[in-house]
Amino acid sequence: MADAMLTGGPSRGSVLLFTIAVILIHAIDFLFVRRSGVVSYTTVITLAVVYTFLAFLTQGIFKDKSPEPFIWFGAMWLMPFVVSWLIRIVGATSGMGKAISVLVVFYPLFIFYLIRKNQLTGLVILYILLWMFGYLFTHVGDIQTYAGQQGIEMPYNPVLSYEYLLDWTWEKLKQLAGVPGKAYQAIEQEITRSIRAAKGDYYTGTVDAAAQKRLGVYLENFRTSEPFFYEDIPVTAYATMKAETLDRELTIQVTCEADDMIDANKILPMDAFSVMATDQFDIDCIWNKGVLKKGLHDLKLTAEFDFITRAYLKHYVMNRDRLREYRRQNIDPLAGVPDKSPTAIYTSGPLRIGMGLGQQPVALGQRGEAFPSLGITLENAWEGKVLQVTDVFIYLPEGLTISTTEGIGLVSTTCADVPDEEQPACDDSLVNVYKLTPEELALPIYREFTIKNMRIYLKIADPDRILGKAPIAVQNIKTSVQYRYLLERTTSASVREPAAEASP
Amino acid sequence: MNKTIPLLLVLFLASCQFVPFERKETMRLPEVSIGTQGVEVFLDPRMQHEVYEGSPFSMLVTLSNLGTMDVEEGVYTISYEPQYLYLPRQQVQGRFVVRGKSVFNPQGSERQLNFIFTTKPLGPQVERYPATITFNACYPYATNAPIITCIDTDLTGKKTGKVCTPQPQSFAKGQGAPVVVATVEPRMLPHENPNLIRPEFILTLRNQGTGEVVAPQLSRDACSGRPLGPEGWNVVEVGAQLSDSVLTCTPTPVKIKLAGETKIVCSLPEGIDARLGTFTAPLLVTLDYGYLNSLTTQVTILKPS
Repeated sequence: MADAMLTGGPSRGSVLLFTIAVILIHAIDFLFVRRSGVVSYTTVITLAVVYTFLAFLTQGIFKDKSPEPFIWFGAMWLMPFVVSWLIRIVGATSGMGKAISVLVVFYPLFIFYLIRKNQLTGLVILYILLWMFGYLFTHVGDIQTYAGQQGIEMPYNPVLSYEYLLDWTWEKLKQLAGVPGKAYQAIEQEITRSIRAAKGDYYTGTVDAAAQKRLGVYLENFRTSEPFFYEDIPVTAYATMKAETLDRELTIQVTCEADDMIDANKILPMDAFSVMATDQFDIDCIWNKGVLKKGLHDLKLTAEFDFITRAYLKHYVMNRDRLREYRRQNIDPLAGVPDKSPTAIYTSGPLRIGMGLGQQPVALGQRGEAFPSLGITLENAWEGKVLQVTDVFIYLPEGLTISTTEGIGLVSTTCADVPDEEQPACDDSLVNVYKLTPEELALPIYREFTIKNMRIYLKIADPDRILGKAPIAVQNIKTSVQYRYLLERTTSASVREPAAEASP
Repeated sequence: MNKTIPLLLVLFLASCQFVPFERKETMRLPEVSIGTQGVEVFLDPRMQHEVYEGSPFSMLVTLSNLGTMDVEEGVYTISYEPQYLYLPRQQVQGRFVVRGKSVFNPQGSERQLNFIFTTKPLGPQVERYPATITFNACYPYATNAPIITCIDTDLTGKKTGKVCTPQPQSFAKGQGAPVVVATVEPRMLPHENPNLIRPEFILTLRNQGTGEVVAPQLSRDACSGRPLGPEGWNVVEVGAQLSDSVLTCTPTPVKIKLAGETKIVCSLPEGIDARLGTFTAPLLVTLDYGYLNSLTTQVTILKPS
C-alpha cells in the first residue's frame, strides 16, 4: 500500500470527494436509518449494500486490492447493530449500557483506514470531533429525555445531540417569533385598558389580599406517564387538580381529548368532581391500546366549573353642599380616614371585578337626583375561558336605586332571590338588590370575553337613609358574578409501532 | 497651748449646725388658662380592632375637656357601615356635658361613651372586612384671653419715666381653648377730640386645635350631615373689653383663615382722656365659636376559619 502511495496515489480532489461521500452516508445512516436503534431487515440489507459499495469505491480510489476496505466498512456496518443489541439487552440507562455505549465513538471506522493511507484531512478531523462531542452530549439528561420522547431506544446516537440542538433552537426561535405576538396582545390589552380608563370606562379592583385561600380550580403538571408509548399499550396522561371553594359546592367536569377529536376512553378516578371546601385529585386520562396510532399526539385536559366572584366597593358619601363648603374652606373631608381612595376588592378566582364611583367622597344631592354612575369591569384574569356569565347581582345601599335600565337588562329583586349562601349577609332593609335579566345574559357579550364593561345609572331615592345623621357616611356597593369557566392544559404523547414488530 | 487651739476649733465646728437656705413655701395656683385644646376625643386603647362576625364589641370614647370652657350643649354623632355593623339606633347620636379646667379642677372633666356594636355576617368568600367607624363631637366653645396691656396717652413721647411702653405681645401657649389670640399689638391713635386718644389693638387669631371651627350658633348642625352655609365655617365672634369699656372689633364675626394670619382690630372709638398718662390696663378678649372634632377608626371583621 505504501508503494501505491509512492508510485502515484489518489489525487487530493478524489480523496476529498470520497471523504465527503463517506461522511454523508455515515451521517445519513445515523440520522435516518439507524437513528432509533431499531431497524428492519430491509434496512440491514440496504446498509450492507451501501457499505459494500463504499468498500469497492475505496479500493478504486486508493488502488487498494487488499480486502482491508471491506474489513473496515464491514465493521462500520455491523458494529452499530451489535452495540445496539448489547445495550438493549443490558438496558440503555444501566451502568453496563453506558459503558458499552463508549464503542459508539468508534463507529466512523473509516478514519482508521484514512490514517493508514496518510489521508487524515481537516474535514475528517472535524467530523470525528463532532461525532465525539455528539456522543458525549448524549449522556445529558435533556437529550436522554428527548430521545425518550422521540421513541428512540438507543439513546447514544451522537446525531441526536445535534437534532436536539436544532429542535431546541427551532423552538426558541418559534418562541421568539411568538413573543412579538404575545407582546402585541399584552400591549393591545394594556392600551385598551388605558383608553378605557382614560374614558372612565375601565374600573380597577384589587384581589382580596386578606383572603388566605386560593379559590378556584387549578390544573398542574399535565404530563404523560411514559416518555413514549407503543400502539399496543394504553396511553396515559395525568395531572393534579386542586380545587378550593368557600360556602358553596364546586362542581367540576373534566374531559380529556387527543388531537381535539379523540376522547379518552377512561378518566380516573372520575370525570365529575364535587368539592365542598378544598380538595386535590390526581386525574388520569387513559386512551385504550390502539386508539392513538403511531406518531405524536396533542393531549388536552379541560376542567369546566361554575364559579362565583364577588366584589365590594367601599365609598364615602357627603352632602353635596357641605362637601362644596369643605372644599371652599380647604378642609379635607376625609381627614383621619385610613383609606381615602378605596378601590373595589374582589375575591380570588378566574374573574377580576373592578368597580368605580368617581371621586371620593361622593357628593350626595337631593331626592330624585342622579348619583354618580357605577362602572363595573369584568375581566378574565386566568388563561382559560369565561364560557358564560350566568348571573350578576348588584347590591346597592338603601336609599340608592337604579335610575334607568336603558342599555342594560336589569331588574329589581330581593334577598330571597340571591344565591343561598349570600342570603345571611343580605338584608332587604339595608340593600336594594338588582340582577341582570336572562335576556341580557343571553347576549354574546357575556361569553368568552376578555374585558366586559357595564355602566349602571344610579338615582338618590332617599338621601337621609344614605347619609344617616352624621356628616359623612360610609357605604358599600357589592357585586356578585356567577359564571361557567373552562380551564385547559395540553401536553403531547409519542406513540410508536408495537415493539415486537419493529425489532430486526 | 498648741494642742488646745485645734481642739477648740473642732468643738466650735461641731457645735455648728448646718442650716441650708430656707426655702420659702409659696402656694401657687395651677395655671389652667393655657393650652390649645378644647374637648378632645380619645379612643380607648384597649378597644378590639379584630372581631369575628356575629360578635359584639365595644367602642369606648372619652370626651375630655382640656380647655377652660364648660361645655353644656355638646352633641355627638357616629357613622358606621350598616351593612356590616349594628348599633342600636338610640346610640347613633346624643348630647354631652363636660366641664372645663378650673383652679379647682385643673385636669378638666371627662365623659365616657360606650358604643356596643355587633358585627354582621360577612357573606360568602369574604374572610375579613375592615369596617370604618367615624365619631364626631360638636360643641360651642369660647376663648377668654385676659391680657395686661399698656396704655400710653403721650403720643408725642416727650414724657419720661413711664411705667410701661405699649408693645406687641405674643401668647404661644394659648389661652386654654383651640382658637387662640396669638398676638396683640396695641397702638395709640389720635382722636378727633385733641383731649382724647383712641387706643387700638390688632389681634391675631389662629385655630391651633385639631378640629374645625364653625359659627357658634351652628355647633349642633356641624355634627349632622346638613350644610352649614358659606358663613358657617371658620367663623368666630369676637368681643373685647378694656377695663370696663367695651371695644368695637371689626370685623366680627371674623372668618379664621386656614393659611396665613387672621387679624382683627379692636378699638375704643369714644377714646380715653389724654391726661391719664401711662398706665397698665386689663384687656379681655372673648372669642365665641363652635367646634367639631372627629375620630375615625377601623374594626376588621373576621370570619372564623
